[in-house]
Amino acid sequence: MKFQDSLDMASWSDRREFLRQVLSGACATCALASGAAAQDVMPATEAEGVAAESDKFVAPARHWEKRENKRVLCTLCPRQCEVADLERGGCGVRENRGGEYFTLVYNRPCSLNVDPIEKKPLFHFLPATTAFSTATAGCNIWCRFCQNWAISQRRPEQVRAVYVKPEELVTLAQRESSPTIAFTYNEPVVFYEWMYDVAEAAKKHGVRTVAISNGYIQKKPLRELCQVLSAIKIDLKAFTEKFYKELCDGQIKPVLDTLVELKSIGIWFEIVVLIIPTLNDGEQECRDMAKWVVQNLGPDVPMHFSCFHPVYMLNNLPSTSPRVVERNRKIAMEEGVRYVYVGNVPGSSGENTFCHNCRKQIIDRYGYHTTSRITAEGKCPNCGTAIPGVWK
Amino acid sequence: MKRSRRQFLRQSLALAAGGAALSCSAEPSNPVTPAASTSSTRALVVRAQRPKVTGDASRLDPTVLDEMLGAALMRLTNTADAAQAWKALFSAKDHVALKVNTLGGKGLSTNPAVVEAIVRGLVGAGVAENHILVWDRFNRELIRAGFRINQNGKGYLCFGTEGSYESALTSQGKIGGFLSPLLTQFPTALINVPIVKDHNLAGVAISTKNLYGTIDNPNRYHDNNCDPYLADMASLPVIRQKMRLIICDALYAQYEAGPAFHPKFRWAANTIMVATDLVALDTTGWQMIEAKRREAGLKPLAEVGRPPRWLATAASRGLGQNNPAKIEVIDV
Repeated sequence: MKFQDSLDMASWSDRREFLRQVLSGACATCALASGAAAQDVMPATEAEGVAAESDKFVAPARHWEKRENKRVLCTLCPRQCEVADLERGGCGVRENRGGEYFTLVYNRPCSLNVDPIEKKPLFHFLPATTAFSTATAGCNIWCRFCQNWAISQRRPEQVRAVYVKPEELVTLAQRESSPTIAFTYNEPVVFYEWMYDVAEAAKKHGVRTVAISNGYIQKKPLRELCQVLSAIKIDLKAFTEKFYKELCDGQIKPVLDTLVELKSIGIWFEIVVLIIPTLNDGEQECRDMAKWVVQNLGPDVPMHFSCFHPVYMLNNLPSTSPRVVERNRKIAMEEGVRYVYVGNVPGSSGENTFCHNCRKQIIDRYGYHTTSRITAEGKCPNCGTAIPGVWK
Repeated sequence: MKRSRRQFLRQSLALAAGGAALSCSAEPSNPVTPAASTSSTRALVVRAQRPKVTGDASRLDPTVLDEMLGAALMRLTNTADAAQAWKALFSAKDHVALKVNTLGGKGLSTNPAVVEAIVRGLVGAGVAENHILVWDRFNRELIRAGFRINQNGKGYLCFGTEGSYESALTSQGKIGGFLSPLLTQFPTALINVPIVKDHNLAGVAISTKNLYGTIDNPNRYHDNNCDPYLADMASLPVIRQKMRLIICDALYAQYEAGPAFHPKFRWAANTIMVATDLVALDTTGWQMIEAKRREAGLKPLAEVGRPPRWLATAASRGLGQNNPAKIEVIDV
């Protein structure tokens, strides 16, 4: 089932029923969310009560500064929104209330799914395991091609959610036998506080956490977050400022800065690039990007080139030809990136992992079916070369 | 039996759609000229200022408000009396939505007393009271501003969109989101009922900025001092088709530290402005704010990093007149 389809299936009317289904294993893939009519049990005369109900998801935000006249400056992401009293930041999920800044999505997941870790995709992180995946509403950039726009481009009020505390989420992941919790689907930076607290709780219980992010985050919160996370996947949307500006309402530099920072921190990370026909599919752009990666991050950071499919506000473009991502894979490898993959092309040999030393195939993949032959020590079974990644 | 919000919306919107179909041939008796369509067109803003209107802080005098509104609309429509003026704009077949601005609580929102005066005018023109809807984004904001939520009782309707937006995506220029059915489905006519206030990003928040309350994701549209986003909002066909009148509640206005209410920057402007050209009206409101800023020793908005340049963008698209020399401001 596609994630988007599952949004429309949401029918859990209360938290108890929802959690009961998750815990009983009745729904391996559960997504609550969305839809204009999701708030249909809201008699206007009970408005104050409803406000109080939604206030249970409100928690003090982190990473912001006070400004004059009850304004606040959000220092979480590079947008650095100056937010007036009663207004929200660009993400739509952080609100100024009387000169204090709050997150509106604490303990407020709208999606709880069990996914293969390869779906994130993270190919060098505990292959063939699952990630208990969660999300909230909101995003800090605005990609016209977002596959999860029904939650990422909406406000918390528009998205059906349940109340799940950090410790409860860890318990849910453990009951699903997932060694990892993934913060994914929407941009996890916008639910930073809950993500951090879940990751901290998970760490205490030996559960790993990964963030699937656009990399739009400031250095200080990133460094703090990396103390509790195990890995990050960064979506590098393109390698031009024009693309970021016109198709994402963002900038490329903060993302590149984040990648360099991740390298400096030493946390495991991989890069995904969604290749969109006519917009970021040029050969030279791919070559420039790969060169930058090798020069600034080294040859061991895996790169994934994925095929785009028409969605959201880019319905006018065709799907990406598999030939284009195969070509990009070849270019990136020519430039020295050791592990390059293609995405959304089931059956392509570009899904598999080959030892960079002996070139033997050491992980087989077909879609989300994965077989790894890497040794327990993370080495090539053929030549003994250490393969970069997190293997145990 | 209590109806759920969803049931209510379905029924009332269905009725409204029926009403809309019926009203297709029921034009107002003397329709006013629509909003200016080129930047060379002269625009008209009518201003009624009555110093005594806010004299009693506890209660605005409805008689004074009725007189102010009537006088302004008579001049706008070139009619001889207030009843005719309302009838020139609205007919008995209309469903009228009043988009108010209630973010700033009781201190800095569209005043319920002004809304009551508008409702009286509409009812006088034959509009059924329950075909009048006063709305904003959230019930809680309406309540904070002093409105009484009414989704199915006697009298005019009043409630917020909450999370119930259209399911079809609307896009226009750099705008892309989901509109409120309280704009798209309920009304045959929209009255934009903004206030006049400073805004930390847009420069000023008056009638164009009030339109952000009709879409689900206004947080996306504040970069670059809201330019061109505000012009894009005003360009939406549904806005251009339905927005028949702007009645600006400038009884109180705020010249600094907006959009939230800050008592020390609010002043009693004692003014109601009416127009059909939102660019002209906003330009006039901007001038009011700049004048007050000068008086208070504050720098112009352009010098503090928030010039409302989206007004020029809107004018360049034929949405109205932003050249003060071509805006006729008539005091009545």
